[in-house]
Amino acid sequence: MDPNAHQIISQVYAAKKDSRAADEFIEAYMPFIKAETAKFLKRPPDQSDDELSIAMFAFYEAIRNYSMLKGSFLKFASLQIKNRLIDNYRREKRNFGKISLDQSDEDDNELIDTISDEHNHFEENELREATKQEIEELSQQMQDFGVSMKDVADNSPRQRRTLDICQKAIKYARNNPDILEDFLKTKRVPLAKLAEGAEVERKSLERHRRYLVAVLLICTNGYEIMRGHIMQVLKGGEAE
Amino acid sequence: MKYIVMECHDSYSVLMDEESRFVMAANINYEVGQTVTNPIIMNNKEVEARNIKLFITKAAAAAACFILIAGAGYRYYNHNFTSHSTIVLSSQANITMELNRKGEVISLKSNNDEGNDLLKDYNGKGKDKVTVTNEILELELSKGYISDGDTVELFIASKNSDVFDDYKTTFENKMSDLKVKINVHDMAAKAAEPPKPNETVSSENKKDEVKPNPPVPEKEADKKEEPLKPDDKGVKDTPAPAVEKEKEKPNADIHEEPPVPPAPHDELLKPPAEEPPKPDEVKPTAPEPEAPAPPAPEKPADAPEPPAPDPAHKEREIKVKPHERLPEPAHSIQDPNSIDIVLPELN
Repeated sequence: MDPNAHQIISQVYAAKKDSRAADEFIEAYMPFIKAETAKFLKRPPDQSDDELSIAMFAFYEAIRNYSMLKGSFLKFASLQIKNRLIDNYRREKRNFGKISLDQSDEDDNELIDTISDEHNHFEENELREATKQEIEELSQQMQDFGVSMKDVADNSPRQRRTLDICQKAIKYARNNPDILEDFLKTKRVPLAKLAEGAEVERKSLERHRRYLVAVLLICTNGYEIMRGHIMQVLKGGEAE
Repeated sequence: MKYIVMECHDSYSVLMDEESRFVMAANINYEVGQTVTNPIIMNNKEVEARNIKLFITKAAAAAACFILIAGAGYRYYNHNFTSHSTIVLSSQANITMELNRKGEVISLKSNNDEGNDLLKDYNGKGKDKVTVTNEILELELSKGYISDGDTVELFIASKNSDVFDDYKTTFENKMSDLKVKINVHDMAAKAAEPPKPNETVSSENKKDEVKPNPPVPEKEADKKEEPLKPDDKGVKDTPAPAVEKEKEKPNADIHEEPPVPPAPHDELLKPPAEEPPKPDEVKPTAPEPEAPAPPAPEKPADAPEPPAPDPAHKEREIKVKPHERLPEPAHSIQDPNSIDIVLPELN
């Protein structure tokens, strides 16, 4: 294996662990990503193209899923990008024959302006801003617990069984405000109390501790929008 | 399913769904706080690979445990439930005991009615061999299959000679005070050497063991006959009876009957000088009291020792000077049945 390949592999393994290293690596190989997208589109990609975003996402996915046993990283990444673009194309194919609402006519009036819209865009924007604020506060509070959004995404339960166990523990915490108070005070998830109270395995809760931090924080005061978003899951708790 | 965009990066975004799951997805011009549907969610093969590795590790550990338990179980089974030696109690009720490595009885069988009758009401499995032997002998005594003073043959078969020696010592030392004599034999040697009555391991009185003299193999007995040439038959005849007479006594277990010698011709053929038996031809053994006496040959009884057959035949020792005539033959050499011309007698 040539030294370049060794260097690439070491960079990939560094990017796996560190988000900043991953961003730098992706930045460094942007020409490669654009070239792969151009091969698929048969034209140079534009910054606003969804395909470029998907190719960048596929490159990052390749970083996370790569191992030395799979051979050359660039070949692996190229294959990942190609597969993602093909999947997106097949999905978008269902929408072929439909007219975009952003399409403009001779007078540069967009089609969407001609359709009566019952939505209150102002309220939607307000809501989005409020949600953004909540999310920023949540991120800041999570930092006090030593947890990032990426960590929560990595630690989130994937299997239905595990998700049910965690949701059971969260419901129990919502019904016992003293547990949430204790959680905010100690900056630690009371795993033993949750396991005992919700009658679930402590080991399962331990494996998803960072996820529980995020969701328990959402269940505390100040995060009504997000709590409302996941309220269907948290049935049996207080109605919001 | 609706997703709230929680965090945006250049190459990906973090979304939260309505089931409070957090996922990584492609950032297709998303903004934080935006609600999206149908995102391109990341496949986390790294986690899958980790899970597979964990599964393989667990499977390997389980397999190793299984092998360990199976090995231990096999060893336990081999020690306690497989036959390592066999003892045959040879009496009217022929009982065969199969023993495990520890000398405990794992099965009792019999091949005759008396033995089966005895074993019907007796179960010696799991007991020590000496205990079972004692109990069986007591049962045989009570049922009348054996009586006080009888001798019972005990044959031990094992792959290891040390086992035989150990068992024999055990039977010597630990048999109970039954008035029954027990002869212990190695079954491997049984085919070559039938049990000798003087080899006694008595439970009453512990005498020194008298080792039976090994019988002369049949081949060696045959060897005596082989070296003789066909034309020495006449010479063989005379010494043979004396040789065979001695031969028969020590080798009672050799079932081959000595050849009946033809009528010796005493006038012509003197018995050769008394020669000691050659060691490679005759092996004298201790006399068997029960061995039947062979038929007395026609040779006079005063023949002192069985001389070895002389391959180079010496018919007689006649000293004749060169110028002298040969003496007249003592007997007629003419065969009455011969068709030859009758020769006049020499003067």
